[in-house]
Amino acid sequence: MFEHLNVVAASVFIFFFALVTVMGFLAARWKAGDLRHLHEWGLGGRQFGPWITWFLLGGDLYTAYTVIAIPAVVYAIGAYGFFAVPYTIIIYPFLYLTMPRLWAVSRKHGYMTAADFVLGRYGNCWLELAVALTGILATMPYIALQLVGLEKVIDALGFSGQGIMQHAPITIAFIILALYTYRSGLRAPAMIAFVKDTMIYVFVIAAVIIVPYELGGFAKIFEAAGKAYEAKLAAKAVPAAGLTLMPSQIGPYITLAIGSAMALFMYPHALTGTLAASSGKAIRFNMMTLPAYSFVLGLIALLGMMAIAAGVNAKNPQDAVPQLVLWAFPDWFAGFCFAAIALGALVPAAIMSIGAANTFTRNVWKPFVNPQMTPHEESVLAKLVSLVVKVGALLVIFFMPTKFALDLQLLGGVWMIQIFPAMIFGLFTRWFSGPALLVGWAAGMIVGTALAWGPTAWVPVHALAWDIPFIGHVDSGLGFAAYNGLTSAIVNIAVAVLISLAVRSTAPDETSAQDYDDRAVAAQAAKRFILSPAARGS
Amino acid sequence: MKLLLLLVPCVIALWVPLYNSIPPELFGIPFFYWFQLMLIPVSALGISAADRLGKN
Repeated sequence: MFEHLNVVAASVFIFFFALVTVMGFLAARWKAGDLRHLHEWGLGGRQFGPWITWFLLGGDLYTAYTVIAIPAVVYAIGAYGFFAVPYTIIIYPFLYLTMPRLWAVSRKHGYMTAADFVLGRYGNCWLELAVALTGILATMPYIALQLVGLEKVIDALGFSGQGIMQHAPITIAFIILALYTYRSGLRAPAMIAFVKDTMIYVFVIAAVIIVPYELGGFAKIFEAAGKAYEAKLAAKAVPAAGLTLMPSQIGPYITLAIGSAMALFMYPHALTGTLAASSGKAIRFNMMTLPAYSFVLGLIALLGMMAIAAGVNAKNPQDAVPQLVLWAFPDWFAGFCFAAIALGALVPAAIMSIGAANTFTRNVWKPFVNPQMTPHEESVLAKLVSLVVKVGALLVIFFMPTKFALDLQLLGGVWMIQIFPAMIFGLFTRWFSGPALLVGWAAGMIVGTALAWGPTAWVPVHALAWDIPFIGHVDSGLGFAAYNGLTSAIVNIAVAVLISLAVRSTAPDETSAQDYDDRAVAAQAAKRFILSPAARGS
Repeated sequence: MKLLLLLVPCVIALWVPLYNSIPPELFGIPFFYWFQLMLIPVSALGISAADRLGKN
């Protein structure tokens, strides 16, 4: 089990893991609040300023799985894996226009989840349930994939357990993570994110300087990668690959970027990070500064080509980055890099489990099982659910093939995008009616899942021509393939528009137009604070 | 104007045929890669400029 262990790298790795464990437990006292209240445990008391939010959201969105999977695609087929760059370019202008509004209305009405907002806006508890379950369903496999990332780096350290011992390290890591998340809530990942993000930056900057230096420059790297893709194409090992996109890849590349950008901030963990911010200004600041992470992500993607040029021969493309690290760096620094990737798994896993727990407590348990819950009971339940969610993710890794977790994650994005119309359109207009959005959601879920169902495996993209039961073959005539998430979201929106035209809703809307203006909400809150007797100390 | 500053970098980022080529290379990096990487700070500057306009 330990005979191939890289002792130096493993020691550095364990040192950093121990460090963040201590931080995770101490975080409970940071910016102290009453952790028996859900908004303290699950949103850090909504008091994270611009910089904390920057580290928290960066640590939340740019996960270990990203650091492993994006370069893995580049390693395998080249340019296509770079879709992550346009994806992260288009997302920030979009978030700049939408997230301050969501923050404002959530602050004003005490919303903690997407489903809270949807209930307040449309007064429809079934739509609330649909939004909540979609989030929980999509988050579970995402957490499981963080475990896959964690396991990849532990493998690379030379640990090779058999049978039940195979998963021992990630089990220990996850139990420790579960315990400090239970105790400290969102404060734990927020604090650890400082360490994680700094380490990732150091790792990536070192890699993009040292590796090209060792390999004789970027020109040589791209030349070697280009040859490798040509060889793969000639051997028909892959349908499309290359240093630039082949015509058949352009449609999927664009639609995958748009669809992924639409889905990302529907996930509970992304909203948790956003709603924990102390002001709309903190969010705007982040939309201008988070692109720094996107730049790093672009560089990380290039690691896939560096791995090719370095002669890394990985059977599974996901091993390309860990093996490149071992090839390029001395043991102690490899241990540092692996620790960075491992923390990149723990921070998002913690925030995801908190986001899912908040959602389950507020939008499934409270409305449908026990409406009389006190804030204290909410917090007790959410803490328990955060444990259950992590155990669930561990079980997925124990008992299901990794391929299945990957497929579920792929489907998760397609599902998550289905709450886009209710959420984002809802921030600007109440023209859509609750029932219409619910039917649109159902249509999108069905179409998206059906499109992903390939003959041999789940697939992310589908030609815009379909064999529909009872109708036959329909061709859109557009002649390119598109990301299923985007295609199904268009179906969702079309259905929601048609039904909204036919069925107008009389359900109440508890929000009003000025609730969406974060500056007005902040000014109002300040005024209340000055006028309140508590603030005057009487 | 504000919307334009936000929107233009997005349109360029999604206009793949514009940058789907290897020359001109920069430090040995094909155009496809360096152009998209450079577009990231440009779009961030666009958001920042839009934010300044929004305040006035």
